[in-house]
Amino acid sequence: MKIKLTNVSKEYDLGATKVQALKDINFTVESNDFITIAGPSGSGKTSILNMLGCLDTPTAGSVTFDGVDSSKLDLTKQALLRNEKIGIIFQSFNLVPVLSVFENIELPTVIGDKPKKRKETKDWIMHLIQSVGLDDRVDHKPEELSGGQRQRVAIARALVNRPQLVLADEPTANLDSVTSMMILDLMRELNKKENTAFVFSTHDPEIIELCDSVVRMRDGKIISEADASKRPAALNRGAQSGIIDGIAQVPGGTPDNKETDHA
Amino acid sequence: MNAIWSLVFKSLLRNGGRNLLQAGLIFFAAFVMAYFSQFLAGVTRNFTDNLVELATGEIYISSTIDAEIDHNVFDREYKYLRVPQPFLDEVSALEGVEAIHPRIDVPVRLNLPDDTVTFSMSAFNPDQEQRLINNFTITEGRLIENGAFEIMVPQDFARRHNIEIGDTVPLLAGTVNRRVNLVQFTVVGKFLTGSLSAWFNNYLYTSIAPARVLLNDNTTITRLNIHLVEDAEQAVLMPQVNALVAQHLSNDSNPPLDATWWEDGAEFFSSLVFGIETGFFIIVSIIVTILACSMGFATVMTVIERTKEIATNGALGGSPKMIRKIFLMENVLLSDLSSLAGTLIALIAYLLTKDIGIPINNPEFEGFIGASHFYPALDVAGFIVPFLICKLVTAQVSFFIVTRAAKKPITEAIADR
Repeated sequence: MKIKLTNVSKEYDLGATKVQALKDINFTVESNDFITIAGPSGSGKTSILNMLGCLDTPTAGSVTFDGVDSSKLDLTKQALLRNEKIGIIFQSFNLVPVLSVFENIELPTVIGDKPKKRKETKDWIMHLIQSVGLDDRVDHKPEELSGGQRQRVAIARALVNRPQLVLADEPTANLDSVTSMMILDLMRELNKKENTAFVFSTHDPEIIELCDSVVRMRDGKIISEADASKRPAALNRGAQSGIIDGIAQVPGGTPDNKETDHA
Repeated sequence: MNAIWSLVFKSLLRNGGRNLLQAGLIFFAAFVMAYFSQFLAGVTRNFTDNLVELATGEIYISSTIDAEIDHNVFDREYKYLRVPQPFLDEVSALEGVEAIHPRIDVPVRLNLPDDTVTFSMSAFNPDQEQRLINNFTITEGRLIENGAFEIMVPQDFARRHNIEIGDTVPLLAGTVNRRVNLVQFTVVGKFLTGSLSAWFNNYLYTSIAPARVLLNDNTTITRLNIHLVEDAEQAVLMPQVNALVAQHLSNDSNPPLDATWWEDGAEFFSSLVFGIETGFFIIVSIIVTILACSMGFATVMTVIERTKEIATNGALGGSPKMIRKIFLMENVLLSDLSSLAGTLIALIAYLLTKDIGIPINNPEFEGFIGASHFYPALDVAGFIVPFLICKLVTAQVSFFIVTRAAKKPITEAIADR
């Protein structure tokens, strides 16, 4: 899996004024990546995630997913791409309030253009619920869950279609520090065991510290990129905690720290 | 039930108040359309059509060569027809003719104590038509006597209109001399019929002479059954019958009844029904417009409230088509359940009122038709069409609104607060 942003710019027309959200961005994400995009508000973090997730199209430049220019796909094909290959975790969870934990996680499997048979996915969903530690909350509604539990539901939902890439827009912004670390541990472990690439935005220094690569942004530009110099301690904590012990072990071990390709 | 159906059902409950209002409106629309369709069908079938038939009923003479097949031996259609006795005598005397059976089949009005109904009357000679008599099973009373002012009525008809043996019933018919005649008949029998019950049960029966009194002409018949000794003689006999027809029953001597007077009356009722129909369609149009606006408004509200949810579904890989499908399922399910309930209540209302009727006064006919009732009549399409209208309006209105919402850029919609 390889997603490449090439000379991507994004301009938003706000009536009289125009806002340049991204300026000539070059950025690549590959399998096993665990990348955080850091920067102050308005720096372009969310815009990059939107480009990676085919939620938005660039004003200039191209976004290719395994060589296919996703910005040139029609809405249905973009939706299919998101459904099958990309998982998205929102800052404010965006769970459907009337659905139970199980149904919220199940949703991506049935709203795609190629809905999967429920019997086939039921075991996997229950497995994910167990993995995120919500097996005693299967029939609960989002309003009956804490912030951390909701975010875990959102993570399970993002993973339900076994995506190659998970995007998370400030996934810990609405959580306390303990819960944030747990969520990060969980994502990190999924990254290792499921071979899934994770890209998330944050401006929390503690979280930035846990990632393999950090892309720093300001005013729509990537201003620096750095590899993490040490193995994240949280990874070991997460692995030891056995939160996702049930998820099939993916060969390959710990991913090497990578250098992010950017201009 | 998968997440989509769960979402559909639960979403219907989440906007309880608004959906209840919507459901109520659809229910009301379906009920009004379905019930008044039955009412309109009743007005048309049970009242106007009969009245028009009374005014313009076609009368013919036929030759029953084969007992099962009637042949109309004349090229033209007749209204009330005067058939002079010499014609009957000469036909009867033709070689090969075994017997002739004149009949009179006309629509009549019965002035009953609490209602006035139009029904068909058939007159025959009970002394000569044993084969016809064999078709009747007298369940109460007796057979009519030839020449007496007596009638026998179908058992169901008697039950429906509370007619008992011995009752005197005023019968009213349009006559050959442009007037309406009213004659009292006594009910002497109730009957069930055999193999041709459906046809026979649509008539009340009397004999020829009193029927002619009712029609105010002692030569009127509406049908002549000619029985032959040998069926094979038909080809030889028919030209002779036709020659007698040409001799005795020319157009000049048998002008069709000028039913203008009746037709005027029928026209009045046709206009009345047209007015009712027009009113009905105006009401339906208003209801459908309100329904469409209301569904549109409710859908817009729902879409605004659920902008973020729609965008989330999009972000999770739901195509615009799928997102539209979910919303359409919600609205159409709401519409289906509500209109089904409305239609069912309309059916119950129809069953409750079909025998009671709605009394009307029609002063134009005062004195001989008197007060009558409008009855609803079963009109299956009248139940199906309102259901489909509600479904179509809901789907159509929702379609455009939801399509727009589903195509709204995801990032923009997710940013909505």
